[in-house]
This record gives sequence, structure tokens and C-alpha cells, in this order.
Amino acid sequence: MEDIYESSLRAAIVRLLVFTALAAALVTADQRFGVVAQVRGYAAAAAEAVFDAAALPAGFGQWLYGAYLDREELLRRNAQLRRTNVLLRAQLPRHEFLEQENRRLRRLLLDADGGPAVALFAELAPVNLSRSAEQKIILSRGRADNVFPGQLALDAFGVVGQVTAAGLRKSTVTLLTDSSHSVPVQVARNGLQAVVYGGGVRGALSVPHLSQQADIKEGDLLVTSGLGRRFPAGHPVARVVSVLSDDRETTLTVAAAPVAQLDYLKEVVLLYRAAPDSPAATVKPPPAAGDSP
Amino acid sequence: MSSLRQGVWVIPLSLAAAFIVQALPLPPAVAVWTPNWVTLVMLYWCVAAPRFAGVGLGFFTGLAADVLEATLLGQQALAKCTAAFLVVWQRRRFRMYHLWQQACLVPLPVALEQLVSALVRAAAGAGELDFIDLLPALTAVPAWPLLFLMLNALQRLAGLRLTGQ
Repeated sequence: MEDIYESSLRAAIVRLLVFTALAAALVTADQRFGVVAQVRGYAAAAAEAVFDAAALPAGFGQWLYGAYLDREELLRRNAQLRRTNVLLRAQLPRHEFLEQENRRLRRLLLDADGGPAVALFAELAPVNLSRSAEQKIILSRGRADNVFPGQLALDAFGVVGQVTAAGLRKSTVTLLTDSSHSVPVQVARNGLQAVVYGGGVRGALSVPHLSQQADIKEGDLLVTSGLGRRFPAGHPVARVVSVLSDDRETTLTVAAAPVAQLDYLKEVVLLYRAAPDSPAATVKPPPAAGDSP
Repeated sequence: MSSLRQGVWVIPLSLAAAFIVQALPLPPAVAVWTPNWVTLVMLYWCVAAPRFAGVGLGFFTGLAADVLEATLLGQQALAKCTAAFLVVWQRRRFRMYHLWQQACLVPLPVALEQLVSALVRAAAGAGELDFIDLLPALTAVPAWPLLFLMLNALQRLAGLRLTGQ
């Protein structure tokens, strides 16, 4: 009896080694080359089914809540929304004016306009991800709703992250705090160019590669610069939390925090440029985005 | 031969159910405490049906988790197959124990899994080790007897043979 046990244990050890090697190869392939993205696409359908099933109880709860919600509560909320709406609408003409002026100026600067930004609205899928996937969120919209990798995700306050994978009806947004994420930005105060990197922890960002002489200080707002032509310019990304200067180093140590409320996300706005000239065009742009300036 | 394979379908079925339960939306404060249902179900089958479940099952379950949560492909696969190995290795001893004794030991493979997963994450430059990662190991203690009784009943219902000595 003992030898059977021994041999099965030996088999288990061999299998552990084989699978460990396989896992290590996969991790490297995924991290370095990103080749696995396509494979992921095929498996996404099954994943969507799991998320849909998990979202059912929440959907039912919401329906129940809606059905039994106080009339007064509804009225109160309605009034509040109307107030916000009036406020926003009051600001709108100014924004339109600014945007037009902006476009005119940019046309003077560049031959090709960046193209108008197209916006999509997407809710978060009510699902729970493990701690391993802390820097990701799942949206309940996918390719069928014109979501595709490379789109910029925003909340009411600023940049949330970007779409990294899009299934048919679900998509994954990698938050800007993910360690694999970076955004080209500029300091809103003076136009200083920089890149914001994710720190791997919620709420932590870093801005490396700035020289000791760079004009950046605590409280500075960083907005997307539009460099790299991937994202529309001018969206708030982060606020500088601390600037450490060390004479032995050639660069500053700058820490920043996202302006978006990453812990309270319920829905996001997805932005992308309609112009097909962006390098993100390796991903096929959606057929509906056809209006060029 | 066909009688040996009778009822194997409960393994993927229970794992699929565990994936759904795992993905149920919860407030973040509660979510960090939820036991790792998928791992626990996987470990149950490693104990109860070693003919069909082992290191390989751990690997593929982890791979499914990686695909589902869009984590680094291979990260949870490596973590889960390590946890499965620990249980497969000590399986005979583990089966001798009472349910409550098993419940006290089950945090070990779960903690191992969380550690390996966090290590891979850290090695890939994303985040760091955190004691929060070990909370699912704690809650695995009350979860195991519950799960054991449920899956045991399911196993009998399906007629999957208990292939232990």
C-alpha cells in the first residue's frame, strides 16, 4: 500500500513542478509580451456568464429597493438632481465656448485636429473581485456597446483608468493606480510635461523622471496632455501630494494621488477620439464613430 | 470503467457555483473577509476524489480565476496548484482527522495560496504583501465544515465514489 502512496506522491510532485514552470512561463508571457490578450478574448464569454449570474441577486435587490423606495425619498432625490442639472447647464455655454476656442487654437497649432472626443456611459458590473485584481474594475458594457481597449475612463472628478480588455458585453478597466499603467500628463499651472505611473496600491501614484529644477509643487493639478495621441487632452488625473528633493539624486521624487474617487465608483464615462489617426488604431475603431470634423 | 467516472460532473459544477458565489458583490469591508470559496471547493475535491482532483485541478481552477478577474495569467494558477499540492501531499493524514480538526488545518493551504499569489504580484511589481491577504485563511475555519457537509451530500447524491483507502 505504501508504495502506491509513494508513487502517487511522486507523481504529484512532478505535476507541481511542471505546472509551476508552466505558470511562470504564462506570467512572463502575459507581463512582457501581452500575447495572452487574444486567448483572454476567447475565454471572456464564459467569464461574462459568471459575472452575470453573480450580478443577479444585486439586480433583484435593486429592483426591490426601487419598488419600495419612499415617495418622499424619490422626490427629494429628484429635486437634488434637478438642482445639479441647473448648475451644470449654467456652466455649459462657457464650456462650449472654451471648447470651440480650444479647437480653433489647436487648429492653428497643428495641422490635424485631435478630432472630437466621443463619450460613452458605462456602469460597473456589480461583482466582487479578489485582492489580486484590486486595481481593476469590470464594466457591464462591452464591444457590443462600442467599448474597446484604449478608451479613457473618467468619473465626475477625473481620470479613472483605461479599458484594457473588452468582451462582448463586459469589459475590464485597469485603474490608473495599477503598476502597469502610465498616463502622459502636464502640470495644469505651467504646462510642464510628465508621465504619471501607478503605484500598485489604491490611491498611490508617482511622477518620476522630473529633473531637480522642474517647477512642480505640492497641490499642483496634473491633467492629461494628449501626448502620444492616445487620450484626449485636459482631463484631470492627479494632484501632487509631496515633492521630495535630494541633492544626491538627479530627479525629484514626486508622489501624487488620483483626483477620481476610485473607492466610490458606480459608473464611468468612456472617452475616445473619433479620429482614426491615433496609435490606438491597432484596435479596430467602432463602426459607429464615423463623424470627422 | 464508466462506473468509476460516475458523477465526476459535480466537480466542475461545484467549482462553477463557487466562482459565482465568489463574485457576489459585497461591501469592501466585508469582501476582504470572505473565505476563498473557489479554493475551498477545489481543496475538498483534492481530499475526497484524489482520482480526479489534484495539482492539475488546482492549476486549471486558478487559470480560470486569472481569466475571470483579468489578473496576470498564471498568478492564481500557480497559487492554487501549490495549495492543492499541500493537501494532496498530506491527504491521508488529513482524512483521518475530525471535521473540526480539518477546519483548524485548512487555513494552511489557503494562506499558502494567498502568499504565493501576493508574491507573484509583488514580483511583477504590483502592490505588496499585506496582512489583509490572510483574512480569507481565517474565515476558512468556519467555512470548511459547512462546505464539507454540503459537498459530501452532493458527492453522495451524484454517486461519485469516495476513492480513499
